Amino acid sequence: MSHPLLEVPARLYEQLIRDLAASGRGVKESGAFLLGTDDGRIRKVSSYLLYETIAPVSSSEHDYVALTAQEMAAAWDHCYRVGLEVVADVHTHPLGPAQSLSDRAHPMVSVAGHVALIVPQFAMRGPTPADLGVHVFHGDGRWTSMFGEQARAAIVVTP
Amino acid sequence: MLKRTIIHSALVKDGLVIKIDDQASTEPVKQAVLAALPQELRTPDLEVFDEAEDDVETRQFADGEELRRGQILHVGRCRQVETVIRYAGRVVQHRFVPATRIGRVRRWTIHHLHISAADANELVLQVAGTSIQPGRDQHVGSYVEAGACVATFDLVRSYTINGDVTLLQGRDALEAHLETAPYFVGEVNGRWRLRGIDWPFAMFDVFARDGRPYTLRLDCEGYPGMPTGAFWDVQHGRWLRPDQWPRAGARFGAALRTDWQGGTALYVPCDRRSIGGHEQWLQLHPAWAWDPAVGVARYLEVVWTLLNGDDYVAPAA
Repeated sequence: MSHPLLEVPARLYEQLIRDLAASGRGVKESGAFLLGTDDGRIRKVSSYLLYETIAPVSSSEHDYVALTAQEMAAAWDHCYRVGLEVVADVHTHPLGPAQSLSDRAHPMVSVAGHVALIVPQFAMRGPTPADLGVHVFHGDGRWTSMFGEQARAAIVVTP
Repeated sequence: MLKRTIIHSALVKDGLVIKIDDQASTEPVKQAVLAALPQELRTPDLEVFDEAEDDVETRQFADGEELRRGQILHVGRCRQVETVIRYAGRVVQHRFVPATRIGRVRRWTIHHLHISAADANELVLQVAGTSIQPGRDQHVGSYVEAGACVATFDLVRSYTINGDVTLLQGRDALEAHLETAPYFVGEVNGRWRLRGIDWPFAMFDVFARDGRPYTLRLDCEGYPGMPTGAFWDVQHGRWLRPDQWPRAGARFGAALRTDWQGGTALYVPCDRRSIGGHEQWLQLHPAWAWDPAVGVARYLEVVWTLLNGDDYVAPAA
């Protein structure tokens, strides 16, 4: 699979990477829900919600990504108020962009087609889409992962 | 002959149990139900609904319901509850009759959001703007918003972990789990407390229904893999003698058998020396299965459940 899955404006992508790096400070993981619309063909990202914003307590207590039910509900409430869907989620890893066991076991959104991005090296090295892991959830615990050229093709960064 | 009838309502938080003549017709039943409410809550617009008069359209989503006429009633002002469920920006809604059980609403939601049953295992409904997660037998009408026939829920996972937490091993991983919500919630609610860590052993006091603490000594070698352990006699520095163990009835009694592994491992699915050869437990008791993402709180929750059932019996010794 190498067709485009996500469309992200360039400025938004750059700001997201900066915010992830700032949130993790190179020593801990950080993440965000990517919000936008899904027309069934491609998921267009128009904003994002940092975990640090909706889950300040969990984000300060853990070096990994953790969300309580209340924090997840706060994110859903935000989506409801702004009228946008979670079209993908993103989080950083200390090393590579492959999924961990907990990533595979706990999709942030358990609907088939959901996209989870993993940014390597705590997002500290200016990663381009080709550096990311693009993981597509297919339901029943199944995922497909794309890296390198496939990841670059899956994420369209628009001017 | 009198029979016990359960009343659910937004007006009475924990519900009521009343006794009604099992031959009574509709109007006397209604009067009996209204009479059971506090005086100040009785108003002429209240109606009584029998959960056995359920919505045929949603019957396929029933979650283990055994509906019997006259057994469980609902009292309220709404004949229909406009139910809104929010999930990651998606919204599904439906008008349910007020006596519809939350379990059915949840399964209806899962179906309409196209989530597979396996992926939905850890998803629960939470009343929007609160931390209330109603049990599956509660009625949707008990959660209507004040002055409206609307109930709004968020579909959430109780706790979500992503990231390379699996990189943490051994004592670091255990200490990380002691800072997570599943552990912390039990601690602040007085269910358990950490007694100490002498790696690879960790000791916790788990409190029984009568307030008595039982010290659990867990060998956490290989953590976040499964630990193993049983009750410990702190005073004498040895495993608790069989006559000092708590007892339970038919439901949980087997888990507290003192002859298993010489009383050094609990006979539960989340103990690494007990799960071997008992893999069928994972299907029978999925909620008791070890989850490395949840960690030690899972083992503690299982032990706390054993010690807090109606059939718990303190040792004579």
